[in-house]
Amino acid sequence: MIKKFIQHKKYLFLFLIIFLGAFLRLYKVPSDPPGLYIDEISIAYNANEIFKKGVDQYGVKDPMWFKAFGEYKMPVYIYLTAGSIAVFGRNDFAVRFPSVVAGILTLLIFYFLVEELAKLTKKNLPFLPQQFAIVATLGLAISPWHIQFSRAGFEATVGLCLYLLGLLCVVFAYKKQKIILLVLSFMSLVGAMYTYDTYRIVAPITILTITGVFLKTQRKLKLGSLFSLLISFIGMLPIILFSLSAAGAERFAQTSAFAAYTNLPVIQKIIHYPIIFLSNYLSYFSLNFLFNIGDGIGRHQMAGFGPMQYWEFPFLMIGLYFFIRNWRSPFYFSTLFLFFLAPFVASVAVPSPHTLRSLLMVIPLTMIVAYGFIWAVKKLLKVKYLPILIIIFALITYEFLFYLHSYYQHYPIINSLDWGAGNEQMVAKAVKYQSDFQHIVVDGKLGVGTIPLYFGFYTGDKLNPLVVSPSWQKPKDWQKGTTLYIHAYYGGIKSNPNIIDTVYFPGQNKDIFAQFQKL
Amino acid sequence: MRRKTIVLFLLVTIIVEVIAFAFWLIHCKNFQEILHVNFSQLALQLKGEAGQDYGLPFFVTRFFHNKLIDAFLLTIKTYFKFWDFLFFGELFPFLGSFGILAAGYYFFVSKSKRILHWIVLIIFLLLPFAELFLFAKIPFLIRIGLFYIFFGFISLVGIRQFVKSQKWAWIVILVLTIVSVWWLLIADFHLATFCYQYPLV
Repeated sequence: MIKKFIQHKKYLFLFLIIFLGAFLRLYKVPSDPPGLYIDEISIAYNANEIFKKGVDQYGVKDPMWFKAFGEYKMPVYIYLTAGSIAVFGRNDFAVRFPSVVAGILTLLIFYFLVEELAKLTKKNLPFLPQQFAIVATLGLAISPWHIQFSRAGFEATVGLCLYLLGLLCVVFAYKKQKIILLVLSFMSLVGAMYTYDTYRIVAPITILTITGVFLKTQRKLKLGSLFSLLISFIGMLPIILFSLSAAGAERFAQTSAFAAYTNLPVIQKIIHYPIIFLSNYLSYFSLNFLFNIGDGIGRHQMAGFGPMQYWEFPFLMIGLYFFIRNWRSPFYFSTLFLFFLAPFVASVAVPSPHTLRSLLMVIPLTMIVAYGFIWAVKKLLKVKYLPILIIIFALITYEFLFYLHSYYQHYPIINSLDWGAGNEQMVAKAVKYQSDFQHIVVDGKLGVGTIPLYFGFYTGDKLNPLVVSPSWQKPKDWQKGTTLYIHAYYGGIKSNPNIIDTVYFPGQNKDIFAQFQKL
Repeated sequence: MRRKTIVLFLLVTIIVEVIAFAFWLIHCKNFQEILHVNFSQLALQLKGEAGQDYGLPFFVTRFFHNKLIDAFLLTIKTYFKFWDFLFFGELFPFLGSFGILAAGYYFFVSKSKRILHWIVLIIFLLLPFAELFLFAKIPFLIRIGLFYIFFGFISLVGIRQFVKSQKWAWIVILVLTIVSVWWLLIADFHLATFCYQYPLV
């Protein structure tokens, strides 16, 4: 009866899950996380320039790569944000909107991907593909890992969405034996490469693996696979050339785990490099990383929370057992392949582990947990251990509510410094006082590189204050009372009579972000 | 696989684990605090958490921030740190850790589980609590000795089962032995994270 009910009502379930996922990704998104952080404001400013003038912040017309803070950003997210700004205007919501949409779309794509993959292994699966897909999608909808990155302007979320779309098209191409779907799949995977750095390596590995599998198993699509590979290679060419250039390799050089060891003799490198890689790689499977603290970066998770929830642990173990036991079957193999591939690229970079660079891991992990969960629930239903089942659901609900409570109540307070909390309010107040002063000067301690971007984005380049060092002295020829000096709180000048306004961090403590002083 | 070969692999595992044990005894005075549960800071932590719950009904604050929940979370967090791959990679080099994983796998696969198997599983899951809670009462040498005797034994069982059931097991054992020795002799990356080292002379 349950089977029939699920088969008939699967779209209702899917709709409810997508609705829940959308709510969790959209609710209070402009204010929580509080403020645009350094990369978001860089994206925001460039996107606004693209929208207005078709140039980046350095005046380059229709750029393919965006120079920002010592690295080059991939173009997809910035162009998407330009479109979003066109619709919603210059605000935090517009900057986060592409990521939120990608997060919600990922749920939909994930559902069909899991369902189709599971259908391929019907015989080996102890439950209905739809049932599995629904539970897995619900798992992803409430996954703290996925929610965290869907709620802010992270390119990785869009990259993940495109990557999954590519995988879904592959499954359809396999089932329907259509070349066009394979071409579409490879194009989507190439799109992921232009979105986030991790996919610059993960996507080509995936494309080559898929081509290999198709060449070996799909006689009808042999030529089609080669044609798709050729098309994808043409699509990849600009990014390959860019990656090989000095500018493109800059990001790799900056974050390379081996950067500190480049001066070692070759023999020492041979000894040390694999151990660094292995150590980094293993750190992604550490329980401390997955459940306790994540990567410790405040923007990537809340303090004291890992990317996964504790209730998932027993189901992860059960699921892993079945996936390892059945690894020869395509469904189990492809999930495990993704599980082990996902942190591969991130392991050559520091810091490791890194929740953002390994976001792809959330896909196989959610599938494994869902498998373990369904198996356990079925077992418990069979032996009629209803009280245990109720306790399990109560614990899951409690932990998720605890997560939401921490996210909305504690996170904006504890981690306001990790985000750009206070900057938007500072700009708004500066605009308010603009007409009363001849000069507006901002203390560089508030962010030498970012202050011009915050002012540029929120005011549409109408207010460009002078950014100075903390030891700055007002020039003698500037008349008294004509300068508005915005500075970070240094202590001691909280009650200075020249302080005309203050910007506070979120929270009840009234911690000061910036003070407005009349000079 | 022949009995002699199995014995040879078990001997290799024992040698690697003995080297690892000696390595720990030479370098470490005790395990680091990250592996110990200490409830003394809980009250202060609770006060801080509750202070951020302004504007919320009191029962909500009590529901999410109470000693029971915080103590449970602290315990589970420390317990998970114990099962950290890097910690186990350091404590039992890769060969030993692989043996433990293999033993776990064969335990679940096996259809004829005896009561003894379940007792071993319970000890396996509970033994880390000796480190978590009794660190001040039991000397370091006994604690680490207990781990090596118990987990070492389990890893030998796992290796034995693996070697018996897989034809290509020798390749895995060979690779893992090389990696373990190399890891032990060349890299002590995470040692400082997990143990109080003796000062360098």
